[in-house]
Amino acid sequence: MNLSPSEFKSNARRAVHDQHLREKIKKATGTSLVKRAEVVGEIPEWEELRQEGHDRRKEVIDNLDRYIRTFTGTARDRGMIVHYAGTHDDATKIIYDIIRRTSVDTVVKSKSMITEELHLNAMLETNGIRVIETDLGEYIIQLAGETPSHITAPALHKSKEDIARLFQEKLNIPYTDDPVKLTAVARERLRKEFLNARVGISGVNFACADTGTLTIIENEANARLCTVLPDLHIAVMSIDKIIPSIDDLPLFLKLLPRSASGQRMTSYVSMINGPRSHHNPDGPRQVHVVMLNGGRLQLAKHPAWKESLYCIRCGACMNVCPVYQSVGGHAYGAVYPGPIGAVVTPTLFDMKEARELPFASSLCGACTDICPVKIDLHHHLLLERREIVDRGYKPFTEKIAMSVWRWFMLSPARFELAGRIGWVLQKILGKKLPLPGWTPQRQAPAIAAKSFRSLMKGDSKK
Amino acid sequence: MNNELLDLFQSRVNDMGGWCAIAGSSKEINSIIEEKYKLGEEEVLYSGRIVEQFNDLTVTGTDLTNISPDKRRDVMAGAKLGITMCDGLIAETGTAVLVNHIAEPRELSLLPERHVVIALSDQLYPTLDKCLEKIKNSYPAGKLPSITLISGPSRTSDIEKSLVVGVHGPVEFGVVVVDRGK
Amino acid sequence: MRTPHLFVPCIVDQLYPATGLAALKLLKKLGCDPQYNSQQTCCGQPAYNAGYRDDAHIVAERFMQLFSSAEEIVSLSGSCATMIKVFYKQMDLSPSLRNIAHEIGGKTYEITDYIVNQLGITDIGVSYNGRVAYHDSCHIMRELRIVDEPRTLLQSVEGLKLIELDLADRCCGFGGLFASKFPDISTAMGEDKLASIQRAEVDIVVGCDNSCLMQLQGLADKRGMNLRTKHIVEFLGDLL
Ligand code: SF4
Repeated sequence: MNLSPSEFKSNARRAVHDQHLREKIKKATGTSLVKRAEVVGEIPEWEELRQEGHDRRKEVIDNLDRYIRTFTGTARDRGMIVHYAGTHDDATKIIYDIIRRTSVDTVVKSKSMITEELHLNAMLETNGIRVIETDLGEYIIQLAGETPSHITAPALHKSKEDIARLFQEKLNIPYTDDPVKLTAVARERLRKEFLNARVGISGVNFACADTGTLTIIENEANARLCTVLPDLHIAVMSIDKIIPSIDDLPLFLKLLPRSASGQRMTSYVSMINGPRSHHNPDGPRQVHVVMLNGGRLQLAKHPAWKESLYCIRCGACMNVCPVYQSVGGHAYGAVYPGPIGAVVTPTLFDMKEARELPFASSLCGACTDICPVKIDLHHHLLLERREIVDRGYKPFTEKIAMSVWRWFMLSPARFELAGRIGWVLQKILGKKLPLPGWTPQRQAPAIAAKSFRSLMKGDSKK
Repeated sequence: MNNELLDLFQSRVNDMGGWCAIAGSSKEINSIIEEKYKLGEEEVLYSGRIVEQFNDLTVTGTDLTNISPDKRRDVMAGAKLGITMCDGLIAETGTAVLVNHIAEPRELSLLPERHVVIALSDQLYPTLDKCLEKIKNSYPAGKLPSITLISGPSRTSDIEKSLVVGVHGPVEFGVVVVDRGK
Repeated sequence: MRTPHLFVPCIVDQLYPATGLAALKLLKKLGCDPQYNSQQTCCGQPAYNAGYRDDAHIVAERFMQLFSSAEEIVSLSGSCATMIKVFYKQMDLSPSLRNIAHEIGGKTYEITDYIVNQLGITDIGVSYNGRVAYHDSCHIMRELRIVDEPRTLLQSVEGLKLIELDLADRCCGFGGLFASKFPDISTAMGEDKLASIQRAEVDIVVGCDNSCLMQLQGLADKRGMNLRTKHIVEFLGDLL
C-alpha cells in the first residue's frame, strides 16, 4: 500500500477487494457503534452537550492566539517547560534536543496522533534513540512496522491471528491467538521498560488554559506509567488541544469516551498539573510541553476550514463512515483517515496531493450526525471540492464534461435530445451500452421510451 | 447518605469490571479486603494517608511510609495489592478521584497488581463537575496538584475489540465505601 | 384547490417517467391540481456536488427563475429537494437571487412531506398485502430530516407490513458522481445495504429517490439477486 493520499483510488480499490480486511473493519467499527449508541442513549441532553462542546471549541479556535498565550503562561507558572514549535521540523528538533540532553537511549511513549504527524519515531530512531510504543495497539503496529489505521484503535485492521503470528515471529513466543494471553505478554515485556524508563513521551487530549492542566485519557494505564514513572515527561500536543477551562473538562469527558469507545468514562484520566514540587509530591522532575502549530494558526483564521480544528479526535466519524468501513484507514495514505482525515488532510497538509479525498464520499452525512462537537464534516467536504476545482487540481476533461452538461441543461430541447440519443444507443446496443464507472459493477437502468416531458406534451399539458 | 446515589455508584463500578463493598465502620474495611484477597502482610501496601485518616483502623499490610524511599518503587511493583484513599467518588461513571498526596504517591494506585480505594460515603458526588469544583476550591489558585480519575481496572480492546482486563495497570479494582450511618 | 408545481428531476424525466405520472395521479386523487412546466431541466445538483460551482449556479439560476412564480413546488426526489431547500441558500449568489433562493427553498417540498404535512393526509386509502422496506436516502433523512412521513404513508396502507432494515440509516453508496468515480467503494457500500435488504425478506424496497433505487436495483440485477424497487409515489399510485 502506498502511503500517500494521492494514491487513494488504487489503495482503496485494493482494500475494497480484500474481503478479510473488510470483515475485520466492519466487525470492529460495528462493535464500537453499538456500544456508543447505548451510552449516548442514556443522556437525554446529548444534543445540547454536542452544541456546548462545539461552542467551547469554537471559543478557543476563534481566539487561538490569546489561548496559546494564556495556556503557556499558566503551564509555566505550574513549573512546566513550554516549547512552541512553528513547524513539524521545529517540533521534532525540540523533542530530540530535550532527549539528547538526558543522554538516555530509550524512551517509553504512549499514544499521540501528533507524534504520528511528526513521524517522530523514525526521526528519533535514526538518531539512535529507541522509542517503545506502549499502548497495546501501537505496540502491535510498531512490531509490524506499520502505521495506525484508526486514530483511537490503531490496530483495528489486524485480526487476532495476524497478531498471534506477529508476536510469535517478533517476540519469539509460542503461537497463541488468545487476546488475554497476547495482552499478558505485552504487559510483561513493557513493564520492564516502564520501570527502567527515564524519559516518557505522551500526547495530550485537553490542555486547560486557566490551570495549565494537561489531560490524558486512556484505558490501559500505559500513559500513566509514561507520565508518572520517568524523571522527565515530554507532552506533545498541537495548539488546538486547548480548552478554555478545567471546568470544561467534565463536558468533554462526557463527550469523548462515549463517542470514542462507547464508555461512560475511560479507565483513567490523568490531569497533570506540573512536575514534582512541594504541591505535587510525586512524578517527573521535569515536564516539557511541546506545542505544535504546524499550519493550525493559519487554518484557524479561515472562516470555513477552522471548524475542523474543533475535533477532539474521538474517531466516531471513522466508525460510522461507510467509506471508511469499506476501505479502512490505510487507504487514505494520511495520518488522519476517515471523514475528519478527508477534511483536514487537504487543508492542513497538501491540497493537491490529497485532492481525491474530499470526493471519496457519498456525502451521506453520517459523520456530521455523530460528531460530538458538531463539525459539519460532509458540508466541509463539499466546500473543499469547490476549492480543489477552483485551483485547477481536477483533470481538464472533467471541466469540459461539466460545461457540456451545463449546455444540455440550459435547454429542455437539448436535454430531451440527449436523452433520446441515449435511448437510441441503448436500443441498438442493448445491455452492452457501456456506462463508464457504472456498468462494470451494475446493470444500467433502462432509458424510457418516452420521457416524462414528451408524455406530457402528448397529453397536452398536465 | 443518599442510597440511590450509592446504588448507582456500585452498579457503575461493576459495569466497569470493578467491585464495590460497603463497610459499616472502619473496622469492617480490613475484613472485607482480607476476605476478598486473602493476602499476607508483605503483599499488601497501604498509603500513609490511610493511617492519618483512620486512627482506629488496622489493615493487614505494610504502610508505604515505613519503606525507605529508594526501595518504594520496587516494593510497589512487586506488591499484590495497593490500598489508597481518594478525594471523591462519581456515581454517574463509577469513578474514584485521586488527588496527588504526599503520603499517597500515584504509583501506589498504578504499580501493584490490584488497587483498592477506601472512601467515605460523604465523598460521593453525582457527577464529576461537582466533585472537581470542590477539589479546585480547596487549593489556592495555582497550587492544584495532579489528579487521577480511575474507573475500573486497566483494560484494552485493541485486539479485535475483545475486552481484556489488566493491561499495564492494576488487574483488579475495588472500592470500599465506609458508610458510618449504615 | 392547491396547485403544486411538479419538479420532475432529470433522472425521473428520462429514466423513470412512470414516477412522474404516478405523482400526477396521486396528487389529483388527493384533491390537488398539479402543474407541470415543461421548460424545467435540472436543479444543478450534479455540478454542485462535483465542486463546479459556476456551472451549478447557472443551471440553478435557471431553475429559480423558472419556478419563482410557482406557489408551491413539489419535488419527486428528496435529494433534489435538498438542493433547492438547503444548498441554494449556501451558494454565493447576488442579493436578488439570494432572496429568490430563500423564497424558493421555503415553498419547495419533497412529495411525502407535502402530502403528510401540507395536505395533512396520512392515509391515502389503499391496501397492499406484503412486506415492504423503506429506504432512507441520506439527503432526505439527514438534510431534510424527513424520516416519519414516508413511513406514515406506508404504514397506513391496509395490510402492508413495514419492515425496518437493520442498516436503515446506512447509505446505499450512490452519492451522485461518487458512484461512477469510486465504483468499487460505491459497490461495497451498496452490497452492505443489499445484504441488509436480503435479511429483511421483503417483497419490495420503496424509497423517495429513484437514484438510490437505481443503484440498488442495478447492483442486484448484475448479481442476479431478486429485488424489486419502486419510488414511493409509484408504489402508492399503482395501488390506487
Ligand atoms: S471530527 Fe468529530 S467525530 Fe470525527 S474524530 Fe473529530 S470529534 Fe470525532
